[in-house]
Amino acid sequence: MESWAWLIVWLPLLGFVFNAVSGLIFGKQRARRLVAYVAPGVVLAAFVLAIIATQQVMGAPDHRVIVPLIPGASATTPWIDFDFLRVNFALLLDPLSMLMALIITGVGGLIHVYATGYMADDPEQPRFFTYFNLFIFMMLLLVLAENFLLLFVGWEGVGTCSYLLISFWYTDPENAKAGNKAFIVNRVGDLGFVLGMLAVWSVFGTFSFFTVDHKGVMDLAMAHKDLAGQPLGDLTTNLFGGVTVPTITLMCLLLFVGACGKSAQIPLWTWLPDAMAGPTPVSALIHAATMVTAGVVMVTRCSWLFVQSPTALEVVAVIGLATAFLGASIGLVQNDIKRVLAYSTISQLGYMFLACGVGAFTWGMFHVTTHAFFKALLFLGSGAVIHSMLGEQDMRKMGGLKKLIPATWAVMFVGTYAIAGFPLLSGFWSKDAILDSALRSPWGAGPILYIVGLFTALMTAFYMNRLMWKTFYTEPRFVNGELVEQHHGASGDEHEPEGVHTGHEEETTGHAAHEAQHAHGGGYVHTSPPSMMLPLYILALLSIIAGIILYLTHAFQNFLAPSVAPLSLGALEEGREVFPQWMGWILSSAVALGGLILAAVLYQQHMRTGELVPEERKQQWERSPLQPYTFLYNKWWWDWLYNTLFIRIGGLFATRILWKTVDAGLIDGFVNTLAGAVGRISRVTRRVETGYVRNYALGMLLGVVALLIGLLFGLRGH
Amino acid sequence: MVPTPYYLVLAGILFTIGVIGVLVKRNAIVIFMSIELMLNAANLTFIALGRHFGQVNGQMYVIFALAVAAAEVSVGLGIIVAIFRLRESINIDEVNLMKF
Amino acid sequence: MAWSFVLFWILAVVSVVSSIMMVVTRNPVRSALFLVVTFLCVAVYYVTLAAQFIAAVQVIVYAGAIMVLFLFVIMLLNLGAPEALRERGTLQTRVALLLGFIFIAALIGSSLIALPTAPAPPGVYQPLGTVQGIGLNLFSPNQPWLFPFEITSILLLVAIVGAIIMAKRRV
Repeated sequence: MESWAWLIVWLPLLGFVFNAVSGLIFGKQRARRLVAYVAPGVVLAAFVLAIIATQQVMGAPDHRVIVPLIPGASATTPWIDFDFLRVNFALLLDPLSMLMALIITGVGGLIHVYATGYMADDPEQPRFFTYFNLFIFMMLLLVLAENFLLLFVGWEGVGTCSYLLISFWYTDPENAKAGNKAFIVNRVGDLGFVLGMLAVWSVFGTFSFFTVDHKGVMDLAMAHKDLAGQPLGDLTTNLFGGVTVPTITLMCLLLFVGACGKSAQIPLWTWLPDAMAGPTPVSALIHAATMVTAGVVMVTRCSWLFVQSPTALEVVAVIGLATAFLGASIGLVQNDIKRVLAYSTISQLGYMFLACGVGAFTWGMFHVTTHAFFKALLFLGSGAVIHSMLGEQDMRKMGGLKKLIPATWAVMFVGTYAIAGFPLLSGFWSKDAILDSALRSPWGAGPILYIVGLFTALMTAFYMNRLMWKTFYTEPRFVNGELVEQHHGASGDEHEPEGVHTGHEEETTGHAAHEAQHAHGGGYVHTSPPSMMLPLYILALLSIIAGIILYLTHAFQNFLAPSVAPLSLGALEEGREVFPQWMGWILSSAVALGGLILAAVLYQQHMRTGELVPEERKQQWERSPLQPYTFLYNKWWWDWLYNTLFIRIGGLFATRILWKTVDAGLIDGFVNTLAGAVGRISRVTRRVETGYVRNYALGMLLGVVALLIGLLFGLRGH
Repeated sequence: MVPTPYYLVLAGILFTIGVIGVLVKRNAIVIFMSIELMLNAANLTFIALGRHFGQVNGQMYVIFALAVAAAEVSVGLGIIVAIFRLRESINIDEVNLMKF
Repeated sequence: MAWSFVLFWILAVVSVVSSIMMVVTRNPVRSALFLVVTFLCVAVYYVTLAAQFIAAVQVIVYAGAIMVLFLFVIMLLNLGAPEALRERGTLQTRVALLLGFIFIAALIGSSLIALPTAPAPPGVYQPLGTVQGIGLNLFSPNQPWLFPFEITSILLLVAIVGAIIMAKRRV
């Protein structure tokens, strides 16, 4: 396997190169067609290779294989080779990395196929697939990396691709801003991640996760030792202010900061909703299925470190739960179909971290898997809806689509029920496993975690069904594909002017302006092409059966076991059982059904408008910032806070103080004063140059006399 | 025999007078003549010390100094003539183009 | 009676006075003539210092050629008349005089430092400064004076060329 495993990573890279130059080599028309085959092709080919590789990994000792990244080289080809640090170009194939590789290439491949239909009319389609393939390469590098440094390369790479793809339609400055926001917020997290990496090196002396001679970070962590053989629990670090913290805790927290940035947890989550400015396949692949889960993957990879620091676990769980709650609460009031899904993603990621925080890394990864299926499904489905609605993303202008695009409705239905946790669908199994583990948290607070998690699940079910009702079941708020005014009382107006709401993130200009450019002949709502529907069907099927198959047979657990650390490693154990598991199932089902039914009942009464609350009431609410509606709608004022703190105040600080005072005043002033002083001094001293030879001669005489006197005094000493 | 220091002091006095002449006079030719005086004082020193040590080297130096002085005078006076042609004056204070 | 001392003092007074006059007088012709007097005094000094040849050369070259050249140029430039401009006691002159006094003091002081002891005067008269003495040293291959002697001829050639170029009218 050593000889071809690198292909899994390199195939998408070759796809990237091919797509990038195809326009130059083949000419625009042929290039578009070729790219539409090559791009998904390389990803699906990588998927096949990943399957084969997984089989071979299962047969390897410890289920772990280290293979070279560079074709033809060995797994110990060094990238960095100092006596204090050695980093190899190697890939680590173990259950965790293969699971992620399968998800990335499998779901990614389906999304690529979908994108060939979705982006078919986009003039920049080759550029899209270039970036898309590059992303797959980077993500694979991230999950398959044998060491932190290669992981970080992939980490940064996916951040870059995310930026490139979010601002794909860069001609609209809003899209560019969204891309910037994503990248910059990510960067903040990366700072923590780099510091965490340095902490890892300082303790373990290496970046590799596992090495053949058991000197990798995780190998040493398993033995509770650092590089010098000291017990890990004894290591402490002195911070500013005389505070001492255990080094392991510090290390884990720093790494977690990086995960927060990448996986949109509090406090670095604000970029994800704005990232919906990118094309829908991007949202599906990057901001649902793969990139945002990189944080979870990284934490799971470092599970051997995290279980040894209960403090870090608590932090992870609490932040995860809080984020889950936050995301769900904001999703309750969003009007843009993609925004609802974005907040849903934030919320579900919170669940994954909750799982990691209580030591249930396996169930966290299980939720990653099922979430990849149904979230990609939901995003792609919403993309189909948007595609059919000619670019309209605002749910207030939808309605009645069930009859018009029944196939899309069907898959969205499956996705909604899966994410809500409807019994027997995949989301049910993964979410309940997490909640169950949370209840039995090894460091206490189990009941609180469980209750809040359960409430969040209720909210999840509610807002997802709300989405379904506003989009599909309520009466259409448009006629014959043309949108009509139903609120604001103005009848007969065709298109609601944009930007009516005060500065909210309702901008649908990302896609609407783009889609409106190309009419699909006639302008009526139509079903999406097979290239888009087929992946949807596959994902729907997976959303239905994946849970049962993987969970009840214990297949998932057994598969992933070699890649995650047991709680016992950190001298922790699960809390005692509060109630048997089947009771938990019943509770979860009740909550899920309750949420779904509640939404249905409420919206049933507002079939015409699709709004629970009349518009005037909302305007009223918007005037006071602490009204629940306003508070949620404005994302708990989080974005406003960041804008004011960092952009306004930071900007003022930078301009008034740093620029005007320090740079222009102090530094420039210092240099200018110096130069001025030189000028002034020289204006005085140049008067020596009188131009008269006699004066110069006098000067010479002066010097000679001085020398002579000096000489005399020197000689007199003899 | 007159002790050597007498000659040295005398030469020093002549030299200083020459120096003062260079510094005080404005006529280029007179300045030049003062320089010749300085050269002579130096020659006197040479010869006096040569006689003091009983060597002929002092006088050899003087021979060559003499030759060089002659050459220098001819070229210098040529320069002064050239300047005079340009400015109709040999007041060296007027040659002050290097003034700040 | 130490006639050498008498001679010395007489010549000293004459040479110093005439050099001072050279500097003081405003008429450049008179300056030149005073300088000639000084040169002649110095020539006599050379004789007393057993440098007969040099004394003769001094008179011939310095007083006879160089000063004549000076007088030619003075006449050529028609500078017989005293200068029109008169410089009062400016800073330059005052500082120059002051420094001059200090300089003399320093020189006298340095001259009074004990000289290294001279070797004993030879019993037999040595032909130090005679023509033969100079000549032998000048042209002897053992001494280093031959080469500079030859070079001096080139120096004089250079000076001739330079003087001609300098003083030529622009054609």
